Amino acid sequence: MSGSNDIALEMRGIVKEFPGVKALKNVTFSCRRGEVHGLVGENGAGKSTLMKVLSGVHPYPTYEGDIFIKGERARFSGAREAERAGVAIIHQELNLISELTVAGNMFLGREPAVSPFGIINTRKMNADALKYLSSFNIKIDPGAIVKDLSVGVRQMVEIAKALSVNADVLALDEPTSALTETEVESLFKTVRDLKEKDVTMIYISHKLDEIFAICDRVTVLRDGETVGTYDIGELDRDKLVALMVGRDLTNLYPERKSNPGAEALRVSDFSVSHPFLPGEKVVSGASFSARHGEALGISGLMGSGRSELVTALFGAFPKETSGDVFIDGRKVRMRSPLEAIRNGIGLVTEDRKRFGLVLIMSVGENITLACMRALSKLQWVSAKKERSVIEEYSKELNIKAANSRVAVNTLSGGNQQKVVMAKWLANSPGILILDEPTRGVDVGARFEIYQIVNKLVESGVCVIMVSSELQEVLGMCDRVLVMCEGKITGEFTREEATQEKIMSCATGTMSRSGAGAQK
Amino acid sequence: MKKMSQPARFLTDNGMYIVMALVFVYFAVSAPGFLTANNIARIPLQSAFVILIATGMTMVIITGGIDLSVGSVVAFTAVIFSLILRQYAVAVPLAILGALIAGATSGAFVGFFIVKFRVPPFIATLAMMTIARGLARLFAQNSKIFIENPAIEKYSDFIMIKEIAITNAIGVPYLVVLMLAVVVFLGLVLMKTRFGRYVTATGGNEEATKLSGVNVNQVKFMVYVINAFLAAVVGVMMASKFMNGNPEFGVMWELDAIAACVVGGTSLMGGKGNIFKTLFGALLIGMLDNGLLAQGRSSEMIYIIKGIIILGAVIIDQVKEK
Repeated sequence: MSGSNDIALEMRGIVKEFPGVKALKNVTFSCRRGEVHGLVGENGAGKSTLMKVLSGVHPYPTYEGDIFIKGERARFSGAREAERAGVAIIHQELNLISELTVAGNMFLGREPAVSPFGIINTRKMNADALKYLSSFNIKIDPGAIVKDLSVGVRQMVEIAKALSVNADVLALDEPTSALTETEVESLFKTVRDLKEKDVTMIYISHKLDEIFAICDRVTVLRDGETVGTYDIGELDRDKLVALMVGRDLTNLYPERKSNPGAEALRVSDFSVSHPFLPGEKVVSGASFSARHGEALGISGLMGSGRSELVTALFGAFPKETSGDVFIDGRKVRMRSPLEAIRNGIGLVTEDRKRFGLVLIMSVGENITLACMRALSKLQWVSAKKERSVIEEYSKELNIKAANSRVAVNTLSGGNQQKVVMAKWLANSPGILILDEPTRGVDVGARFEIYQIVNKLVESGVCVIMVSSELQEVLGMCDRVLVMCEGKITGEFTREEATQEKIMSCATGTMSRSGAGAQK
Repeated sequence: MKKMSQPARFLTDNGMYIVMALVFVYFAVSAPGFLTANNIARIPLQSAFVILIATGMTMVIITGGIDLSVGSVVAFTAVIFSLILRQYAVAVPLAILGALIAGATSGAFVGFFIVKFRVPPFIATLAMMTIARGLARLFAQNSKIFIENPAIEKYSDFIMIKEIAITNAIGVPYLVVLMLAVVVFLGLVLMKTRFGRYVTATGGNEEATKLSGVNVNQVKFMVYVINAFLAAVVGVMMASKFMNGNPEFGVMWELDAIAACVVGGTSLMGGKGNIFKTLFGALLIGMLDNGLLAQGRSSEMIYIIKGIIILGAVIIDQVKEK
């Protein structure tokens, strides 16, 4: 902590209403100069809305309350004006142009021109970019094309871009959601370097470990209100979670009776070839089985082939897939998602915005999209049947929306995820595959999702859960498969599994023979 | 997500109808002869052909596509229809069938290339636009094909020839009846059927729709077939109305149809649109044509004013989205 008391930014009595919802009721938020200030709360607590108010995305006077930047009253009419005042946001979805170079992105719209004809002085631009990048210890080639960079590096470019327009208040919205461990480390290093240079940072994250690792103070929001601001030293994980959800969560993973039944799925010598590189395999020779009433976890690092395995099982890449699949003992071929659905499989995809939801359609229409056939006769959709399905699953999954006719993109991440789950539950699947079901989902909705999973497993559904979070896999699954470089490198029961064992199989440091009951 | 006052919301929600009412009142006051029953009744009749195409176009645009070929398909099928009647002394229904099949086939080709070879709809239909126009001219040897077949007299009550185009027993032209029937039918298909839901979902997010077990290729293929089929219906009616197949029928109609969709609030990004609103969009444009003519404006002025109104209607829609 800088120790100095001068206030970089202060927001007082912020109220923001949307039609039908009061997103921010009375939020007070202030940051000291040069601190890293965590902003936490469940999805829908108002973090993103607060940041949009701060950065002028919701311009004055569409909100009530006062904003002071370095002691001066600020009434931004748009994001541009906020940027000029030194406030910048790095969004979850990055806003870089992938075909341009790093420098081209950093100086977009203010490129140094070499002549009156407006030809860009690339050399000067690259040199300027390098100056900024190196002054913050960011090691990136300014001439690199952005699309060739990893997500982590792109994020650094975004940060550098913001700093190059003299931002001294920087809000990072879920910056690590798509980063690898090493990338997170280097992000943290950059954050610490920036702090040295008196940049004030607002750090929004669901990953509480990160909050504890990097923040000086934390402000907790709940239901559009400020719960309080705390020095990180006075909190521990449980306390923070309790503040966020407003109740004590004694156990993050709810209890479940484990009573596996007959074999639901058996996969043997299952391979998926790379869509672009002939000869390469993203999944090779995977064999495993899963039972009714069992939760099978699939763990592994990003790029280990987990998602490819389950997506291929769902019939999404028929041309690239080989191997045998048996469902309830029957050999089946799944050449399309439709055939997979007919065989009783459901897939909650990893990236819900791209693959899970039709964002501009209503909550109800999304819920019934995969079960239209059951709701219609000779093409004609029964409005009554549809309504009852929507009502049933909105209620069962506790989907919080003004009504089922609002567009699904107005919902918070957790509720969107529940809509995706509702879509598959409405099909009464025998096998439900969940790929990263709690990514970008807050603690409260997470708990609800776990409860739903448990209920499904208890009712005899075979749940296959892909997750990067080891604790989640260990807390939820009866059995865990570990993948590394397209192969299944380990299999553990709940009792034998530990984080260390899983990590060593996931990184390929443990041999197959040492990896438990691999068949 | 700016908060709007009650009256502002009402204005933007009903923007098109309000513009329509204003335009109507304006013409009623300023254009002699506009406000007569005969003239008002003429508007849907004059717009009927474009409306028929625009209904199919609405579906295409909702899937996120576009179809530039339909104007040419009108000419192509009108020529085919006239040619069949003249060359072979077949019954009129057979000639109609032939023309409809020819139209649907052109749509099937377009759909096939879009689905199978991932040709962007703009390119695939641009190609079909020139191909169909070229075929029409080729078959018609660059002139009109006059329908000289006694068979057509026999069916004069059935198909839409000159008198029928004007009116029927209760004073509503058959053409308008057919147009309304198609609008209502496809409007219901879009809103109330599984196929319609899939059309919207495909345009909203093709990947997610595919992973929900929907055969999106089939959906996309079908909308082009439907659209070209409707163009063929128009082609047959045009040929019947003028008693000839003219390879220059339907020039630029695809653009009129797209304009009607857009004025009716269909999003060119896909995923959003309504056939009934397209109907009103087309009627608004038809009313402009009619009223400006009644005011005695030149055709150049009519073009310019129409363009401005189309822009205005879309701007209202954009403001609403914000």
